[in-house]
Amino acid sequence: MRKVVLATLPCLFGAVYYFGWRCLAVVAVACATALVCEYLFCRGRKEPVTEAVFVTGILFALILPPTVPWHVVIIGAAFAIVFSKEVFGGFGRNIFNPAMAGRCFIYICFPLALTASWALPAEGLWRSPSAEYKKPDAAPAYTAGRLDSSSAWGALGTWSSAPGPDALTSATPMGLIKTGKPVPPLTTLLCGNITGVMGATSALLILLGGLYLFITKTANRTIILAVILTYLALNALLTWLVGPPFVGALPPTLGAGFLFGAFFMATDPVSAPKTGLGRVLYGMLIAIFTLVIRNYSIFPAGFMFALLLANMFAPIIDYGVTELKKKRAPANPGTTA
Amino acid sequence: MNLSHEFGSALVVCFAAIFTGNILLTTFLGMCSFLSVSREVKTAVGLGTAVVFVMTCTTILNWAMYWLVLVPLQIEFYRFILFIIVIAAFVQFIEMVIERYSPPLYYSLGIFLPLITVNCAILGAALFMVIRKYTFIETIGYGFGSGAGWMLAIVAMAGIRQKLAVNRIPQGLQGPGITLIIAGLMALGFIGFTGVLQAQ
Repeated sequence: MRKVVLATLPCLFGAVYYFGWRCLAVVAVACATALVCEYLFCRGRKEPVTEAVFVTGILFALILPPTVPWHVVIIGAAFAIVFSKEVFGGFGRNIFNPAMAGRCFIYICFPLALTASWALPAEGLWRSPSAEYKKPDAAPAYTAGRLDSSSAWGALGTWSSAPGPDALTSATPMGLIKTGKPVPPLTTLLCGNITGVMGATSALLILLGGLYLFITKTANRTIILAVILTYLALNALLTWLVGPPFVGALPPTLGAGFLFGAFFMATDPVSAPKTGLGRVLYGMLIAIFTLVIRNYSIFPAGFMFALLLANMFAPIIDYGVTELKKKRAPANPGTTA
Repeated sequence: MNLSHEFGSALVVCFAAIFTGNILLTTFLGMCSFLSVSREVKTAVGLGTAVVFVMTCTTILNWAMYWLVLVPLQIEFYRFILFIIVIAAFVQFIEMVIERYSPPLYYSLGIFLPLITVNCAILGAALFMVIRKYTFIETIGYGFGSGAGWMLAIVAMAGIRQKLAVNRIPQGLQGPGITLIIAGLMALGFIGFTGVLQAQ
């Protein structure tokens, strides 16, 4: 669990670098709320509070928009801990990924707070060549405001990269793909000076933490590979066969937090299947649901719904795989004898 | 409208009934048996199969009854009574046939067949079929899709509850309480399919 916290540090840094110190405060509020809820239930069960609650708190906060209102953070974190973890018996017994369930709940309850406006990020070291996804009329206020957009320090000197409504936009990479507008170039997606949820804009920083999880085997390798490879392959295939709205394999995989979900969310060892074949199926299921929901549903948050759906089928996948093995095991000696 | 177009739209209606408009998780019909018979995967699969079969057959029968009998006679307001009679009669008939020709299947299904008579999802499917004015081929797709969606939800729920059996659920929430919370979280996931396919 400590390793997961360590692996989120690059993303946490990215959040502060691009969107200001408010992000850190959001993470702190989410963790504090989660801790209080967990403590109340653990006291009743007479169990110690585990550090897993901080993993949930951090992961939950990192997939919120930088301008998220405080009450939404608190309600979401409380829902995540109470209704998707504690009612099932606490640590290690949850069926749904708590962070994603919490986010899904506030996504449905407070749609405006979570989807309507996105803070423009600080430019940081990398000036983005495409200005397509920036609000043009916001430019004067943007440069005249507290943000010096060309500073190498990014938003490190500010509380929030969106001090006023001028620095807000409604466009995110996934939204752009959905409406058929040009997608930000790959270098921008890698660096992460784009609009989006605070901790998951930069594919490079996610990969840094994610590869650490991958190499130290903290996260399950089968799931990561199954999710990412299936998604890449399906996107490449459908771009070739169908064309728009599909825009090639790389942009949807690198953008909009897909990698963050694949490395940090899908690999939650409690809510994922326990069998090898089950994990492969689980990963493929996530990728397929993400693809369908992102491209065809009215919501852009494909990965979130896909993970919840895959979570709910994880136990039955495990059941099916073990039943299959049971059936095969007695059959094989029978045929040879 | 040619036949291939008809089959295409039936397929769309079928998938929409499974995912976008899952009868259990978006309209919350058929909750009673969903809550009581989802403790084990095996029984859930049994009941689910029975629901798929009965739902497909009764929506077809009810379609014929509605459009060929009630509408020409202009007594559409009798549809509630008629649909319930058709469903009950069909289930009774099937029960007798199975008992006569396949006693093992009859005993393995046990209580499930009579239970289906009072499953509101079956009647709900018949009424939706009327409201949305499905054609005959679309009705076949809709009946099968609704049944399959119901089965998918109850089997997934049974898997979850089997896994939960060893957990220490808070005392007041054991049984229906935790099942309703899980159903709510499942419905939260199914919201994601909104707009994927439109079932009219």
